[in-house]
Amino acid sequence: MSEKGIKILKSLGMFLCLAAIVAVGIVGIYNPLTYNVEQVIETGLTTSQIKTIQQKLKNWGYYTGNVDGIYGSQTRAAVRWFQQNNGLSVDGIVGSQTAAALGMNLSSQSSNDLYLLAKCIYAEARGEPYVGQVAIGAVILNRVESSSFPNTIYGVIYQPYAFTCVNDGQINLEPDQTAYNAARDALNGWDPTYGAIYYYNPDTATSSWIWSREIVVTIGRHNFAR
Amino acid sequence: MKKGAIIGITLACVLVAGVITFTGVQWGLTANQLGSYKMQLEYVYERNFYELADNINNIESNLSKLSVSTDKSVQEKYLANIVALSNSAQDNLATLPIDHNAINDTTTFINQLSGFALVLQQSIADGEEISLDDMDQIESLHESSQNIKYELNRLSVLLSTDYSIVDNIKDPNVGQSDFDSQFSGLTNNITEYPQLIYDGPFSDSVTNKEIKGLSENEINAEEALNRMKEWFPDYEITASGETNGEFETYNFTMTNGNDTYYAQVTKRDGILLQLNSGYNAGESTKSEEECITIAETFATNLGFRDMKGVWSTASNGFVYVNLTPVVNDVVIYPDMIKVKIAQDTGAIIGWEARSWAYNHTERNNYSATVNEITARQALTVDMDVRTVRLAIIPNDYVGESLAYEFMCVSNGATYYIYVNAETGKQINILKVVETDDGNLLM
Repeated sequence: MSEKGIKILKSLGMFLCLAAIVAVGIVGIYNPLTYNVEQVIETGLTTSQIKTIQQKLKNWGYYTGNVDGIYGSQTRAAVRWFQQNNGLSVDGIVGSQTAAALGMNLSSQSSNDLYLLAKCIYAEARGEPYVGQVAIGAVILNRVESSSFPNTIYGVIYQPYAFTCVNDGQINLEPDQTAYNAARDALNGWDPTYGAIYYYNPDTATSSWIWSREIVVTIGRHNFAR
Repeated sequence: MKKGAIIGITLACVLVAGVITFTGVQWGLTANQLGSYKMQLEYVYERNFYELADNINNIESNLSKLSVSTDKSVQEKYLANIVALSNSAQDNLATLPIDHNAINDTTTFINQLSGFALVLQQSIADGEEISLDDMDQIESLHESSQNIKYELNRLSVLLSTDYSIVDNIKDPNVGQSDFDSQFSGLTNNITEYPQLIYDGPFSDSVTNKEIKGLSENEINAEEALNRMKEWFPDYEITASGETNGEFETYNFTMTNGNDTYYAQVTKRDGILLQLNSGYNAGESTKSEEECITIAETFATNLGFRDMKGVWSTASNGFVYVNLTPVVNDVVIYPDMIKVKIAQDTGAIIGWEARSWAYNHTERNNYSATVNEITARQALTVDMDVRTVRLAIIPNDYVGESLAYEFMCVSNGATYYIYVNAETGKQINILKVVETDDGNLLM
């Protein structure tokens, strides 16, 4: 959702809250279903996730209201208080960082691809400048797109003899934060090589064939080629 | 003294004997295990080989049936088979221990066959007929697949003897292995196949895209450096070579204190194409909203007009903002620029304008021929529509379409549904997915 969208929805949500309070006052009823949909789109949280958050905040003394799965002003205030005490950016919204501090995992998507890409970048290019690490990630993703290579990140990285780090087992080293950031940037579309599908270290490359490829750019110790 | 020496020698002998026995036992076990591992590996390779041969046999027969079929639903069935079989063949091929060079062309053949079949299948689903040109391409694909089939059948006979794949694979430090050269035969038989013409996955028209957003006017290195200094007055900037990929760029390294940034400026028109840095963000002080404003202002300062933040996600102290031009209330997604901002300082630490450079052009078609009420009929009845706007969206492979963008909620999940503003048909659906690294559109 766009940030503008969130803003609009927030004000819409606030207006609806007020309207709901007024409506409850006048009619004495309120429709939980409509409210819930509103809250899912506003907070990105399901009712059961909100209940878990409320329960945790209540256990730790931040929240005194009911554990009802409704992300109202009391819950929001409790989240803000929690964020303040934990050095998080105080916005009253449970995003991934606040969720992590609450000991919750909100994601529903596995990030195996990101992890494998980070491992390969770390094994092949740790010690290289950051942009050289992004470039390795980009080469892997360019291969996925290319017709002459396998069509998944796993297929490309584990293609026999494709990466020395897979041959010698260095791929199993645990990647550092820099490699993760580089992998994320590459997945987000950063490609400093503009389409390279090969790279090699000219000091150690043994294949004579690789020298015949057109060099696109040299970053750190690696030549990137098409 | 003597006694001590004897004890010492005895002890040493015992130790040596012990070590030998121990090593022997260890070695014996390992050899046993090695034999078993080797056998299992051989089976995995052979299974993949025989599956590959089966898949190619089936592709060949589906292509030959397709070449004589006249009924659309039958054609669609064969095309769907070919897509599935070639995807599976590609998996088999990628698992076999063959050097990339020995199977490069075969892989391309299989991938393009799958892309071509997919595009034909979609066009039949859209009500079109297979053209005569396409039929010619199918015929030549059939011939190539026949050649590969014969070659694989020859290898099957070889494998049914005592030929072992594991014994014939390459030592990573040596050149071609025997198994590699057995496979090169495949390549020799398909080099004759004509270049496939289609707009779909793995096609050459997709890989060799035209750069629409940049004119032919080139700037020189000095001018590029001056522009960099103007855009980033607080940094020390040095030239660091050139890139000659899809885009030709002047490259720069910039620093302020400890952090190094890497930037690329296009030779054509001299725009900032990419910027990146390994900067690790500290404690966040800027909100996501503030970062969006920073990105918009920065784009304006660089001369990009009408750029608005249309999507953002925060992760690890960074905000990723997608900027697109918004003209006459129409969001132009193909001209997207991605900006990465550090939430601690509000500094721009990443910029990626490749899509903009590829696609940016003055567009004329901003008016829908299908009205919003008609377009809504393409949504399921239980969709709760939150916002509607017009957008130009890139098609899957080539070209773009004017579409209504409906942001809707159904069963607690948020979707962006795109309905063609000329035909009223659904053309794309994106789903908002939460991950540890912020929200993703998938």
